[in-house]
Amino acid sequence: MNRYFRELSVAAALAVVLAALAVFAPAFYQPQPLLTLITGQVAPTLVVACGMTLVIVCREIDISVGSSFAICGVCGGLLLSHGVAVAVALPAAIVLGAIMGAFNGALIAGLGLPSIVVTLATMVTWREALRWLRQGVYVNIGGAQWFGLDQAAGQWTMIVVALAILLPLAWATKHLAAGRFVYAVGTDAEAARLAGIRPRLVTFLTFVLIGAFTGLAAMMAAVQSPQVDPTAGTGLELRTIAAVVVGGVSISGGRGNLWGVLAGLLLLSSINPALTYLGVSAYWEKAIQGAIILLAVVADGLRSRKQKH
Amino acid sequence: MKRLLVLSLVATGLLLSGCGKTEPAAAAASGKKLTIAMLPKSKGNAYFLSAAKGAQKAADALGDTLLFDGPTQTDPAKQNEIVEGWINKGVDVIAVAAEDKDALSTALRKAQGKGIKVVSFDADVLPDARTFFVNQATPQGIGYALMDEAARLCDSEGEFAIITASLTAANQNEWKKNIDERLKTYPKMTLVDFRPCDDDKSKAQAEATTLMSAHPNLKLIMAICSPGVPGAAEAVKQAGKTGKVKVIGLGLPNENKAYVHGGVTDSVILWNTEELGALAIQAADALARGTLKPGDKTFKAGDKTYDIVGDNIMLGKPFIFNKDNIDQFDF
Amino acid sequence: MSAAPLLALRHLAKSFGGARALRGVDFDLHAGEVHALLGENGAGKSTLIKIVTGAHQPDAGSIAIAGETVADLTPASARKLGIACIYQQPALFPDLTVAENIGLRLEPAAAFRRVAWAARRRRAQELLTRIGAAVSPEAEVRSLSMPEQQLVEIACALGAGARIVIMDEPTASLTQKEQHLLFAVVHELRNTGVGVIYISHRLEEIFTLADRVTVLRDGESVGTSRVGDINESELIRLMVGREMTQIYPPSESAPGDTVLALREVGCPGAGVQGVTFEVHAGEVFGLAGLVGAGRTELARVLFGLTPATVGEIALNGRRVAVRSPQEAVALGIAYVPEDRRRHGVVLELPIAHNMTMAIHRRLFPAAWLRFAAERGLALDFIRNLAVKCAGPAAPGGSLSGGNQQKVSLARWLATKPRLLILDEPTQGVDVGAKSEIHKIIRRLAKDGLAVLLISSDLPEVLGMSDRIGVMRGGRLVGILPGGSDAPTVMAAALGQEKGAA
Repeated sequence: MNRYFRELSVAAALAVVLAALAVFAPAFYQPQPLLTLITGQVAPTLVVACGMTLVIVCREIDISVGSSFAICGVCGGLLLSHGVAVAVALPAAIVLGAIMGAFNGALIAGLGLPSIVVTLATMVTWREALRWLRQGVYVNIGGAQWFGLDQAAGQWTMIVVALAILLPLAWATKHLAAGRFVYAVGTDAEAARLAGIRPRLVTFLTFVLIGAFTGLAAMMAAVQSPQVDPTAGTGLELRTIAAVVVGGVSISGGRGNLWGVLAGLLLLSSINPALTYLGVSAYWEKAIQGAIILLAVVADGLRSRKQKH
Repeated sequence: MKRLLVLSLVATGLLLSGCGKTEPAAAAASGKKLTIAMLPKSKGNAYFLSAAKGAQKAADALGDTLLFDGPTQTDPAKQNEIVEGWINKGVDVIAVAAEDKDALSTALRKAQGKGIKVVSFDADVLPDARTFFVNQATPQGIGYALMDEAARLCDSEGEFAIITASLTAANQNEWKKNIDERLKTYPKMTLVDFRPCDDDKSKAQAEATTLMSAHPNLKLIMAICSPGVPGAAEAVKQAGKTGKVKVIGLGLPNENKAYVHGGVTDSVILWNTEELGALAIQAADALARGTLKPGDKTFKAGDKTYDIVGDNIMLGKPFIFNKDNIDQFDF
Repeated sequence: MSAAPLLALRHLAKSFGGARALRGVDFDLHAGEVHALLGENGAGKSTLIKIVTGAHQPDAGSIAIAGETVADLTPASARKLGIACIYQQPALFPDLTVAENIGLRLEPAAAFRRVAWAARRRRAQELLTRIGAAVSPEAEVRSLSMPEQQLVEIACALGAGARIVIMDEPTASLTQKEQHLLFAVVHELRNTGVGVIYISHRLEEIFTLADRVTVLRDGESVGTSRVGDINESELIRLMVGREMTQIYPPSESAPGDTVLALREVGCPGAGVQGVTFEVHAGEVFGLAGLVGAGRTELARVLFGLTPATVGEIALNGRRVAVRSPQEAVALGIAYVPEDRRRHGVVLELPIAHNMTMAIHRRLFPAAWLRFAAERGLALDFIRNLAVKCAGPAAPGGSLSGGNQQKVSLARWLATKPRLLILDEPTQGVDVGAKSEIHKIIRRLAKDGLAVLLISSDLPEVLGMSDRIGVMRGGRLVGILPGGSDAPTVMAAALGQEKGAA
């Protein structure tokens, strides 16, 4: 069986959905709504999913991304609303995200605590802190929408930024020793340690990276409207983890790549508009997404069983 | 402001409790100047500041003294402290919006024991801890107002779609039932889709984008959760369909001002917060003076008459914010 | 002993893959007897126990219990027949009480049956009293000492009506006083007519406790005797006294400069203390000892996994501190770990990745990977070490044990070390691959590498080493010249005076 069978089957499923839309709902391919959907729904999620891929390949998980996404968006938005330049506000949000990621990473890699528990705690803490501080009030960024560009330029910028994260990272995971370290640590941290790799450092850095990516994604999402929603990012962790798992990354670490994750994210993101275009009730959306995730997990389970025997 | 709260407030409004514990009206000299204490969920909050503005006007007109105090941030414990302070001070009547109804009810029962009258507004406490609740909205009022406004904007004809919070949200489903009910009186209007946005502004935007492109004849999008209104409006703006596809919804003035002025959103529906504040004070005053008693069916305040259902004083029809009046409100 | 023996094993044989663990073992156990089972590492004791407890099925031979032949023994049916095994590490639930643990073992396992708490406690108390154990049924197992936990295990065995109790190195982690407590219980068991199979490396225990002793060697029973009829040196001879079955390549190198010098090195946390020796370039220094003697622990100290806290380590005459594997690698120390399936070869990764895992900085100085260089290096090692594989891209899991070991070795040779630590390099490897690995070790030594060879395969240590260090209880108890005979080494490892051999 082909090494990339899993990725290819996701890509095939995506192709089937896109082909079905072309036949039954050609309206899907109008440029404006499609561009808005990609910039609004896909691009920021993809950036977070890139970080999530590394974290899961490293055999950890981060469920606090939704909360740090909201915090970075609001803080970046507040800077913009006070007239701070984009060139300052954007890096500030990224650094803030990286700091929150480093906090998770220090607890997980430094103290050896389980990542699901640590990030569950930070997810709740950060979300509630923001709720207390902002009371749900939107942040008006007004003229800073689209980073001050016009709509078309802003939308293309989002796509370029997402690709500017995805492409180098996809290259780096395959062509940099650092990328291979992540896979080695995720597969067998003790073997990696014996080989002179520092598993704890690698784990820590993946959390810093997902934090920085989350900060970037939060700003990408924030500037798509004149108001930043402090409840944004609710459920983001589920959407990214779903995309990563559907894309063929093994939840037990060490396997998968970003191309599969891209296909998985596009597949999951296309289900909802597809249902609207095909006139199917929204009641089916979650059920279909759940079925896709289940299928992916079962496929991985069968594969790892086969490997063991 | 606090759209999180607004939803819970409306939920509270749904609980039209039938029985209120009654207590003989304490004699209050009708000519005496009363001290009325008003407790919002948080005093820094624009929504309650707007209510306080109405309350102050009403108190001035009645010749009463208004004490307006509350926690800086929502904080149930602080609410209790403030009520305790008022009990010691000896105010005549208290009007409250509860953050935690169980916690606050204990303090209010104590106040009642000292002869202080209590009304609640905006967010109710337990029925035995107050005499009346000033109820700002009913599901029928909201549902009918939304549907009537939609029909008005579409000349009672054409396709429209609804964006809701989630398919399981109890409040939204209750409103949807009343919208459906009202829709029967507009036979030429068609509801083409009903989609959830998971209370997420960006998902609402995506849903609205898809809806417009999947239904080219769509005339109006109605959002019945507060993130849905600016989300749908942004989608219409980005699609360049301002004016062609109208947006209405249930939300807060500040979140929607830019879109209302930009001509994207036509109407935002909620209740008049100033009137809510004023009514709370008028009811408090009347209760303390004995002119409002449990069991009354109507309450006359100023030149308006409000219905009383059980122990709920009904604010009446929701208020429609539009280009002409939205700037008067800051929450 | 007129009646049929409680347990009679005849011609038991068992192979794992190509390795023959048992080649026809005969063994008898009578009621009211303590029968010691003795043999060096890998002689087949564990396999024998696993067959008797039903965990493994024998390939050939018969098992009879109280005269009745039983076929298809399973763990459940073995328990029903009254066979119980007390392991060195008790398998109890630490968060449950003693009574709960005993109840779990002995009560019918119906999920919705109500627990009769009083009866459960009474029964636990009864069993504990019967073996004279001063343990409260209410105590949480977590709070008990190791021997107390063993007593609970024994109580479970008795409660289950065990007639045959197997004790696998029960005293390995006990203090002197605790041992006496345990011995009393063993006597008690014997007096009540239970047959005890007693496994231990401590010869003096066997002479005080056992009635008879059987020695296993290379999967065969080589002798059974009453303990009164045999002495320690005869036992040792039985254990090791085999013909050299394998030809080891001769040493061709003359030892050069001192590469590694240890002085009083210790790490009490890891159980290593006061180790002093030197290893020279071109020398194979073997480390012999029984399982648990501290050889792997010493290797981990040298590799910086559990850094030394006392003593001096000098490398090439320079005093060094090895605080992490990174530092060890930088200093030219390579460690091929014991358990290659768990921490040696990453089975999911391609062979080439596995081979370059420890040399990323050297092979890829510019941070990005050079696949051609990696492939070239992998191909060189595959050719050099004769790794049988589909190519550098094949996953590590697709290889046989011996070839995996070569990949693991290649990873460390790629670091161009001065000192190579090999921990059980031929464990679970077939005979052909084993001799290939031996040749590779010789060649490396000839090229000037200092090799520290840890092996539980005594002939391998004897045949391959230029000098042999013997470890016992975390200490280096002696250094013997290469070519020493097996009884001498075994006697040192067992802690017997050499003179007795």
